[in-house]
Amino acid sequence: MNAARAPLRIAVVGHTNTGKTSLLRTLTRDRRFGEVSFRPGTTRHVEMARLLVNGRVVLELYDTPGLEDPIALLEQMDGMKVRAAKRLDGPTRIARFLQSEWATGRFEQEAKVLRQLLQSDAAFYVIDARDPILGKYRDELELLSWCGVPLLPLLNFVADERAAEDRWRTVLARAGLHAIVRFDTVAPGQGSERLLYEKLATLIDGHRERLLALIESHEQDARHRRQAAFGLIAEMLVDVAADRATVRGRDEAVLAEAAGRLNQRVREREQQCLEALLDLYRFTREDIELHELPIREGRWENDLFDPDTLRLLGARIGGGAAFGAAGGLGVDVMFGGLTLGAGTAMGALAGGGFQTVRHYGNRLVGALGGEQQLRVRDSILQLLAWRQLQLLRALEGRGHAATAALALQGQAGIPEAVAPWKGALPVALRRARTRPEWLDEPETGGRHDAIRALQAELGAGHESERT
Amino acid sequence: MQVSCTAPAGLVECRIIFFQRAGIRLAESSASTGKLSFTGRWIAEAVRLHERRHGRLDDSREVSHLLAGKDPVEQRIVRRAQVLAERMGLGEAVQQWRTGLRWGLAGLALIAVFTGFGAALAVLGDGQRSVNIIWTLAALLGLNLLMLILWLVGMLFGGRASGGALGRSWLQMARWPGGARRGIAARAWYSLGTECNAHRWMLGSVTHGFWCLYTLAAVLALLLALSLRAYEFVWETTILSSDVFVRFVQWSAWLPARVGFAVPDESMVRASQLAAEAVNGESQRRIWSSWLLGCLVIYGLLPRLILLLGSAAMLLYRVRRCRLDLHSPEWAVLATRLAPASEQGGVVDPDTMQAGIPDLQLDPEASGVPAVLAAELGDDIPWPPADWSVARLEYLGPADDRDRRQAVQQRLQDIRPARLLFAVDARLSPDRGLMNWMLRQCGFSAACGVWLIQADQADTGRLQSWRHTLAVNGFAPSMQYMDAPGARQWLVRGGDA
Repeated sequence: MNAARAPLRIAVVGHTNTGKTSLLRTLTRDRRFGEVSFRPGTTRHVEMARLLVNGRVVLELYDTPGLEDPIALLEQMDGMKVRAAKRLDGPTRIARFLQSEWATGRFEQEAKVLRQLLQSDAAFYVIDARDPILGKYRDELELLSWCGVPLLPLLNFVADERAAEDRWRTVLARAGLHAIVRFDTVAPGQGSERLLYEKLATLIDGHRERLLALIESHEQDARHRRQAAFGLIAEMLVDVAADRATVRGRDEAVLAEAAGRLNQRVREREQQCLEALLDLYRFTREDIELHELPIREGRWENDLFDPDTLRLLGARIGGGAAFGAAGGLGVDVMFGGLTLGAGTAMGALAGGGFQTVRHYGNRLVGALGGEQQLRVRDSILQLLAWRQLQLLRALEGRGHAATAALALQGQAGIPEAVAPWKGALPVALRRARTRPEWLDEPETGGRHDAIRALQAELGAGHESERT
Repeated sequence: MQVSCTAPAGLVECRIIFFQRAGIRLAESSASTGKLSFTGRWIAEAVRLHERRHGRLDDSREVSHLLAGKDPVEQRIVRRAQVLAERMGLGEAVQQWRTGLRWGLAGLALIAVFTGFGAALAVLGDGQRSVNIIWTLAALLGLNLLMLILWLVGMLFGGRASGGALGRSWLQMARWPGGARRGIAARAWYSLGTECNAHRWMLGSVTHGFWCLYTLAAVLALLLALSLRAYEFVWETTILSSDVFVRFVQWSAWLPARVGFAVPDESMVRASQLAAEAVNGESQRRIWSSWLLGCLVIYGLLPRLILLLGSAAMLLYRVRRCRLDLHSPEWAVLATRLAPASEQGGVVDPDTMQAGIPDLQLDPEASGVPAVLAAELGDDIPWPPADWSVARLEYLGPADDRDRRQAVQQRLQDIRPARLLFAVDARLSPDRGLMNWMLRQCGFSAACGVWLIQADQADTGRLQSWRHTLAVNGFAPSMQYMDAPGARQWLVRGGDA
């Protein structure tokens, strides 16, 4: 009864600097947990984090200091064993050590680990798979196994070329540890969390249901997060598609100035979307550097309207209705918004959208008076969509332990011709094109519908890509 | 504000009560019971809109308070919004907007009654001239039916934003005059209504209610006029045959006849044609009046009443089911903040270590052959190094477990090297155990150095941590060697070379 109610206690143990705190950060999706650095022994205390399902604590994770001197400790304990009169089992020996003066002296840090381990239901034993199998690791393994607590070895950095996975597996098997998980704390990848908890469930009896609930809840969260992300991207795209600038006359300088203002608005809107995505995925802009993408400190490095950026997308730069200075700015010039179809006007009438009709009328009048409308090009919309989708993908595959130097260096630049939509833009965006009033009245139902439709489309595109 | 719902003035009151129930009262009563109301969500929406425009408000105190509680996520969002709204004075704006809605509703109702009444009286005229009965019916019913068709088209194709132009004008009336905050209350009302798909039904209710009142007023005006004045009912045509009218009257009379309205028969219709110079008898007048009223009630009032009830039911249903979509882009970020899937538990076993690092102590008397000692090396590093052709040099290690360490220590005690160079793998991580052991071995030599093998392969973080750890333990930067030639040179010739 009590066992079913109390949260499961999992100690995270391992040699120093193998990524224990990183694992905690990734599992809790909390970048602020503990302190991660490359200095050995950064964590000198035991720190706890809780995982919740529907507001109830399911798992308690204990981040422990690294075992830094296992050889000397084992030697010490072997000496104590010799002095003991009768045969002692592992936990008793550990308990004796914890009561000895050594546990508060030279081996205090190790004592913290072992004490925590004794109080836990199970432990994740984090291994840097790049390390050779040194004597100290064997001693460490022996000490940990004395605690009599189920150990689940986690091979970290298995993707590295130096990783010696097979040899580690052999050593672990010889120590009686056969259930092993590969888990990259920096880039865990999809599904690895599920594997981790499923393996854990096989190790400890009677907690399977709760661990499965945890898995389920996390996966559901991930799905919802992704949906929300698609919504944020859709909203940004609809806003940018609807945006336009009005210019009077055909003066190049005036046109360029108006195009510049429009472009600036688009940049800001994209930045806003980027920040919302970071927020949603619980990353902050100060400490994120996505090497896979040209983002630094939460800002895109290359400009959206840079011709090279566009060329990378394989987008057409010339042509269209653009001319003069506006041509290089990713902006189309329309003459009075006359591209508005009669169908839009009819639909607006039917829907009671008198606002739209009014706008339409205003634009018509403006056109007769020599007004021109600037709007962002299709290719820019494609590029925006592609960039944010890339960002989303990077955020999804990223552990919350990632710091700049740990980040996997992805290929630089952008592969060519990656426009999310071949040919025409989706209907929702084409609709948004004709509704500049959506920017002033964002609560309009039509805008809402367009965003939802685009959100669904992005989601469907994502699904088809995965299968 | 319990008023019995009697027509026609009562209907307005009825409507007000209804809207209060649907949107407003539902809210207040449930605040204490812990159930969430439409108003609560409405305020949350208003705060969201405010924050979208002006950035996130400072809510750290409220959030930590909420995190400590046990409320579900949506409730946390609403509670946070309530506190923030109080601070911004948004509650007042919400109240004002509500009042605005009520006044708007009353205004519309008044207009409906006056126009309905006026239209009926205007069409009938003063009784001096005979009344064109078909014309009268068309005038009183035509606009109503035309607008009904437009509404239907709007509902079919207009999406969530539809609901009728009259409903829209109601909102315009309620919005005027409005400050910025009241504007946000209105926008939130609008946006939440759209999100919950309640908005079209609300506007629909207003539109149908208006036409209901309009037609009802017209019927009453007709009754009044027909009671107190004598009208001659005729119909006329220039180009149509009289059969058209006969058939029209018969068809239109079919449904009213089912519910008991008296309807004219064929001979009476023919007799009422203006050209026939027929003068209505008393019974004929009564029948024509009955037909007129019947058509108005059945084709004008009844459909609108049914639609009003339907819309109102839908509105109530939608409002009751209205939830903030926590997975939508609008709320997901806040929901993650207010109900994180993990929480920090803090330090449970604090760091109390009195870091006792043994000092680096050398043996100045040692003068044996220089030794190079592999401490811990990766498997891919050959040992001893193949290209080191130095004859008078002692190669020791690798010493990465207890037995080897003991053997190495034994050997060092024997040879007492003048210079001892540790070879460590820079790609691995330094630790306290290794440092302690290295420091102890230094005691057997007169000078110590550390050679960081593969320093160019290690990532910068690891290399930094080595340099830092070594320096802290007494191996000054001048005693650290990053490349083989430098290390060998020191080993062979000593520090002064």
